[in-house]
Amino acid sequence: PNVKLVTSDNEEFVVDFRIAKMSVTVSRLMEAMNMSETDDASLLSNSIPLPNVTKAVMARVIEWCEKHKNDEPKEEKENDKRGRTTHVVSDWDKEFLKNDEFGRLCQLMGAANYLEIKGLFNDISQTIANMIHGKKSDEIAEMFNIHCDLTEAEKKEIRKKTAWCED
Amino acid sequence: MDIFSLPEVFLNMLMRTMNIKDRLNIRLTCRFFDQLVANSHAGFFDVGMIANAFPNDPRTVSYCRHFGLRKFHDSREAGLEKFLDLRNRLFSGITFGCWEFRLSDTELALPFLLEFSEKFKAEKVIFQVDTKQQFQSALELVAKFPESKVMMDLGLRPSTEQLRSLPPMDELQITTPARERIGFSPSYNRATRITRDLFFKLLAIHRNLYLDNVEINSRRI
Repeated sequence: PNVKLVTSDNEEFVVDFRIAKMSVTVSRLMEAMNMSETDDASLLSNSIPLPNVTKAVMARVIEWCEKHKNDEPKEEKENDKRGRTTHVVSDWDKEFLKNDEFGRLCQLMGAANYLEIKGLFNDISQTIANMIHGKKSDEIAEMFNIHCDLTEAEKKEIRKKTAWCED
Repeated sequence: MDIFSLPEVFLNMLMRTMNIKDRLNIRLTCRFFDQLVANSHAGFFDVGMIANAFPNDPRTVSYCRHFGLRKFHDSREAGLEKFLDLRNRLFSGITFGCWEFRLSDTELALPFLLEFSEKFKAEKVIFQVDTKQQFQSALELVAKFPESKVMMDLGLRPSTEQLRSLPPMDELQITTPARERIGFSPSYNRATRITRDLFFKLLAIHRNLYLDNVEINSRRI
């Protein structure tokens, strides 16, 4: 069975029921609208409005969901030595996200959050963290186009306070 | 879109996926990130554990603390001072995904733990309780984490009064006392006895209930 999803720019996407169920938000809406997998009429006569997602972003979300629709629910997180919650991004996901510039990643992250697709949200969050990982502050500032408004004295003070973790 | 336009909840999530060094580097990029890292419990560790290094010696309160996989083995005052100093200098507070307390019967332990847990938050706190004194300590500590999920492993054959005094928890386990699990203790098969009414009360109060070697009888209290 298929489910119709309508984006903010009035584009209709027809997706497999399993894919629709990957979003907690869509799942809840289907329940509220009495749409069930076994009732084709309810699926045909209703569509799910998603006013916070555009056509372009929805297409990316569906592409990700298509790839992951048969995934087993997995236990989150391993810890690394520094207390970081590490979400392992699969090779396919790395490839999927690697050409997205930061702005598009943010839009996708916003959609994943709104649609409550935890795996996609974590993938993007970890991808951004990986972009930052190991970089010096000026490199991070350059990457995100951040204008530094800290004075040299303030920076020195922060460095002094945090020297203990520079090992 | 720039990084500042991300909702703060995303940025906090992002901080959680970054290690401490990266968090500190991003703190140096501008005042906004300095404040975000310093003031928002961005000092996040997935797991933490605090245990008495010498649980059988009532004269010592030497604690071993794990933050993430980083371990601190220090004498009481030096360790507390050092860690609190680091915490105060870096973050306004530290949040643990899951913080485990292995309690001891040392009389100094509770005041130390109550003091130590100031300014910490935990999404879930775990208590392993093997004696009456530890049970009392656990109850006092639970009160310090009103917003946390609580899991308690009771290995002391709890009384009806003790079970009735428990606050609602995410997970309550009643198990065979640890000391009786080793070897062939004659007490091993002695069950914790609870009445049917108490069983249903526990079932209603706690989200998950795990019973091991517990006998439920039908007598009313």
